[in-house]
Amino acid sequence: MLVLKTENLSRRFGKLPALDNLSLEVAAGDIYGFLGLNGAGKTTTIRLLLGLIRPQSGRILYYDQPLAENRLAIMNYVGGLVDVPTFYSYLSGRDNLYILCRMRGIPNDKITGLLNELLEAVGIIKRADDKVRTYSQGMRQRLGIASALIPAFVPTAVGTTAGKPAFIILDEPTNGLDPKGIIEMRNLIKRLNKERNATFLISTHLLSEAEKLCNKVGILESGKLVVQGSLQEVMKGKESLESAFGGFTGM
Amino acid sequence: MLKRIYRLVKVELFKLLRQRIFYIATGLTVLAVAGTILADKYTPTDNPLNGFTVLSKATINGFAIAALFILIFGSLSLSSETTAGVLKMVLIAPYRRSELFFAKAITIKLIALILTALIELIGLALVWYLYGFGDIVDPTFKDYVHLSGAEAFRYTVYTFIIVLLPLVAIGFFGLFLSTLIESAGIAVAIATLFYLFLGYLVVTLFSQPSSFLFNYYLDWYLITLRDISTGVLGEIWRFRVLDEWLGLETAKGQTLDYAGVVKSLLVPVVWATLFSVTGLVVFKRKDVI
Ligand SMILES: Nc1ncnc2c1ncn2[C@@H]1O[C@H](COP(=O)(O)OP(=O)(O)O)[C@@H](O)[C@H]1O
Ligand SMILES: [Mg+2]
Repeated sequence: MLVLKTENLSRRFGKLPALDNLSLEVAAGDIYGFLGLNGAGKTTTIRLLLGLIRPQSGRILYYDQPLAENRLAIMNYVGGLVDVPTFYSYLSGRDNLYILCRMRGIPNDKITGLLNELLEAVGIIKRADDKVRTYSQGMRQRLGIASALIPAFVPTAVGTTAGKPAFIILDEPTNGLDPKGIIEMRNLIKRLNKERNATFLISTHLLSEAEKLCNKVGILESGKLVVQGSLQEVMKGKESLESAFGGFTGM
Repeated sequence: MLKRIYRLVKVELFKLLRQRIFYIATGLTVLAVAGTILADKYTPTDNPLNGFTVLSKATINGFAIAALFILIFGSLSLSSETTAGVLKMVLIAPYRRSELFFAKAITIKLIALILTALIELIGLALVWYLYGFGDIVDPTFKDYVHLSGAEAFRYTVYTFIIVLLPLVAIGFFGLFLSTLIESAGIAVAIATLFYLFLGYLVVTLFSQPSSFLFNYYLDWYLITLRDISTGVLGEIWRFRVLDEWLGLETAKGQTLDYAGVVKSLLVPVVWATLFSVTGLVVFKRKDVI
């Protein structure tokens, strides 16, 4: 079953066609690697998928429902990290996440436990009560990932995710993370995928990371999707994703 | 929808109470009111001051500062989140942009309410304690009562309530600016310029239609407060009309300008509506990067 499907999505900025006829397909349970060089259009796609900007043409469908008409229902089970994560710097990391949980309608008595679990999972529980202003770049990134993961951490019984497993969109989640952080996040994503059936769309330019993490990949070049399929299909006998990527993009 | 907006307003208040600027705003406002009252008390004069005179001076100072801060809170409400980049994080949550916008608007109303209540309660309490509220008598013919203490008090309460209308309209003007301008610094700068003199400029250029905005506009209400304190009934007909509407006894021989009263209540509401609707339209179409 497809969680996400885009049909001929296009978006220009002025004269620059940032995205051209993009047709993505992400199935339930996928960890989809959305690959592309800097400026390929990954962040633009993600902004469109989250409804932060609008396409000039094309449609975005979640479970066959168009995003344009069903954004509220859809966003209940979608979480996202876009570009560089940003927070209220005068609040603690915990309070920032608390606000997002409140906004999602999670009852107060469930939030405390959920936040502890979430902060523990992304490895910033020790600094959770410090102001975000004092966080290092890596800590902000971890907090950003935590904010995107909220729908995956809500117990089904709470019912704020509309009965759907979470769909989490992460824009270059490894940015600013140290090697240990990268491994921790990779394991966390795999764990949530397995234990909570969460589906992921992860944009990255780190091909070796995608190779370790994803079961499906799509390669974006200058706003166009040049190939999409399972990791094996796309690698087609090449010894690494890097050499396959080179073949498709002429890098 | 209402429940969702209520939830967002609670989040807004949660943030507000953790920001220093909120305490600076309330602190300075309270200082302006209390400072004026205390300064008057300890300035030697020949004639003892009437409580209403002190109250009006003090609250006019308070309202002027509150108006500036309400304008600043309004102009920061969306622009500060755009500048900091947090708007995108907030907009990923399952809300309509209109709901977020209304929550911001309601929060501005609440800030206006909090500051106004502070000004009025502190003003009333301090003046009551230091001066009391006597009849307003003529300075030369002491036995001629311009306005009885009870009547003056009632009119003060009327002003205290309706002053909220222009304050909210001013806040919504700030909110409107913050949908247009992405940089928080520039939004506040432009709002402050309007407060200081662009408002007057607009008033001079387009006299009638805009003359209800900004300083001058707020003054219109504050003048009535000044009137109460002197008992000279320049603008006080408005309160006499309200008296009549409320079924209270009105002074005889007054011409009551009903149209004027309706206008003074309606104009800020029209401005507030205009600014919020335009702001909403702009905000809904915005790319959030
Ligand atoms: N708001 C914007 N205005 C103008 N151009 C933009 C805007 N956002 C992105 N672009 C352009 O669109 C292209 C794709 O950018 P982006 O989606 O951020 O790439 P990626 O995330 O893959 O690095 C780039 O050329 C970028 O300069
Ligand atoms: Mg990017």
